[in-house]
Amino acid sequence: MNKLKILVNGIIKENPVLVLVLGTCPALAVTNSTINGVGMGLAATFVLICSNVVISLLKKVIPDKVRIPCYIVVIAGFVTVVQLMMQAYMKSLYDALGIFLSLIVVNCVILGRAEMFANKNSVFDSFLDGVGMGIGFTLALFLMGALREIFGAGTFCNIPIPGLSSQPIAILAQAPGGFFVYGFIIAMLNKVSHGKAVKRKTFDCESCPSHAGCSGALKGGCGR
Amino acid sequence: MKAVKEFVVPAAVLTAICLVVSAALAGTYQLTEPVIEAAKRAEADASRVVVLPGGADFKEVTVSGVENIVEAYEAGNGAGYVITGKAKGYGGDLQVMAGIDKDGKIAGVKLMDNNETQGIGSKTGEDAYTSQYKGKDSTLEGVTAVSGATISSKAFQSAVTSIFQAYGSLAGVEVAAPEAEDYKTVVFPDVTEFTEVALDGAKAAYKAGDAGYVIVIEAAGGWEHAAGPMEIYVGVANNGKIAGVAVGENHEAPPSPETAVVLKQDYLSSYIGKTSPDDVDNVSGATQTSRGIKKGVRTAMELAPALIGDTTPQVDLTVAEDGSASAVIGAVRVEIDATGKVAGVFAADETADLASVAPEEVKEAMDNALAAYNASKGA
Repeated sequence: MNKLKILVNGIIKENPVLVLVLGTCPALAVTNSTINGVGMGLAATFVLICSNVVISLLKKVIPDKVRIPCYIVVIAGFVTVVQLMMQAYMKSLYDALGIFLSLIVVNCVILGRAEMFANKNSVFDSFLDGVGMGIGFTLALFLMGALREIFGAGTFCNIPIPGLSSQPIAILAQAPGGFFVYGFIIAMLNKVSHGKAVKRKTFDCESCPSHAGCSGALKGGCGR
Repeated sequence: MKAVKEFVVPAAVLTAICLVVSAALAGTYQLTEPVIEAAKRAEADASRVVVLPGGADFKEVTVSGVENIVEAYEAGNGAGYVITGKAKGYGGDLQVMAGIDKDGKIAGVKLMDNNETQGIGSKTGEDAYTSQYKGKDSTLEGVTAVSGATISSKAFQSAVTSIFQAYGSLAGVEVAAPEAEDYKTVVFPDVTEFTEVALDGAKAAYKAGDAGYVIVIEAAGGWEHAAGPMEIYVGVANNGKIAGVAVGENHEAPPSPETAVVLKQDYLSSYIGKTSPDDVDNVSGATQTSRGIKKGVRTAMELAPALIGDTTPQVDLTVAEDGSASAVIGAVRVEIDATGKVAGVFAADETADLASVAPEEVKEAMDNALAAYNASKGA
C-alpha cells in the first residue's frame, strides 16, 4: 500500500471521528473549548502511535484468543505514561482534561486501529496509520472545539471575539451543543463530499469504510 | 501439546505483557513522581499566598475534631490561616483552599483537586464565583451558586463552612454557622428578635418578639417527584391568625412555571389573616405543591395553640331565665334576645362610648357572642 495513502487515509477518507464515527465520547465531551479539544487530540495521537507500533511489533507473539486484553494492557500503559508525563510537565492541560484523559484507554479509535490495522500491517505502516488517524482525530476535535468555543463562549483559545463574546449561544458549550455541532459537521462533510464520505451505494462489506483493515473482510463480512 | 497452545501460551503472553507494562509504568512513575510532587507543592505554596495575601512562612498545623479538613497552615507572620477543606461534589470529592485573615474574614478561596465537569461544575473555580467569598465571615451571607452547577456550588460552600469550623478550633473563637435566607423575617418582617422555643411535632419554633410565633414544619414534598420534604415557615400572630407563610428549603423542582408562583409571596400572602388553610385556593398547574403547603400550614396551626394558648375568645355569657342573654367580650357587651337575635350592642364599660371600639372588634364580638349563645342552647 502506498505510504502516503496510509497517512492521508486517516485524515480525510477514513477520518476516525467524522467518517468512521469512532471515539465520539471524547469528541463530544472535551470539545467545549479549542485548547481542550486539541490537547485531547494530541494526547490520543501519542497513545495511538505508540500502541500501533507496539501492537504491530507484537502481532506475531500475541495469540488471537487474548489479543483484546493484550491491546488494552498496552494502551492503558501508554495512557498512564501520558497521564504522568502531562501531570509533571503540562499541569494546566492535565487539569483541563481531567477525567477524560484516563478515558483515552477506552477510546475506540485506538482499540479500533489496533484491531483493524496494526495487527496485520508492518511496523512502519502502522506508525503512519497512527500518525494519520491521530491527525484526523485531532483535526476533528479542533474543528468541533473551535466551533463550540467561538459560538458557545464567544472566544477562540480563550481570546474574546468582539461581537460574539457578549451574546454567546451558551448551549453549544454544554453537552447538547456537542451533539448539535457534531451532527452539523457530519452533515456539512456529506454536503461537501456529495455524500461520498459516508453514503454508500450498498450496505455490504466492501462499502464499509473500514473494509481495507477489517479482519472480518477476509471471511466475507462481519459475523460470518 | 494442543492444550499448551490453547491455554498456556495465551496466558503466558498476557502475563508477560502485563509485567513489561507494569515495569515501564513503575519506571515512568519513578521519573515523574518528584516533578509532580514538586509542582504540587509549588502550586500549593503559591496558591496559599493567593488566598492569603501577605501571608508568609506557612507552617502546617493539625486540626482536631473537625471533619472534612485536608490540611491547615498557619502563617508564621500572623496574617491568618490557610485551610483546605473538602466536600462531595458532582464528580467525587472537591477540595477548596481558603485563607482566613486575623479578623476571621475570608481573604480568598481557591478550588483545588476536583473532578467536576469541565465547563460546568469547574466554573466554581473561576474568579466570577470565588471572588464573592472575599471578605465574608462564617455566615457566608449573600453567596450565590453558579447556575447549572448547584451541586458543585453547594459542595464548595460546604467545604468553606468546614474550613471555618477548623478556623474556629484553631484560633479558639466561636464561629457562627451560615444561615440560609432567614424565612422568619419573611413572615414577620417587622420583628428582628427571634428566640427559639420548644415545640413538639415542629421542626423548629421561634418566638417572634411580641408579635407571635414562627412554626417551622417539615412537610412531605408536595410534588410527587420531589426529592425531599419542604420546609414551611408559618407565622402565627397572638390572636391565632396566620401572619405569614414562607416556603424554605424545598425540592419542588418546577415542572411548570406555576410551581414557582406557588412558592412566592404573591401566592403565600393569601394565607395572611386566615386561621386555617381551607379558604386558600390551589394554583392550577401546581396543585400538588399547593396541597403540600396547605398540609404544612394545617399541621402548624394544629400545633399553634401549644404556644399561643387557646385563642377561642373568652365569652362571659350570662343567660337569663327568659332565654335572653348578655355577653361581655373584651370592651363590648352584646345583648341577645330570647329568639337568639342580637338585641343591642353596647360598650362593656358603661361610661365609655361604643364608637371608641373598632368596628371589626364589634362585629367579631357579635359573632362570638352568638356562637357562645348557640353553644349554650345546644348544651
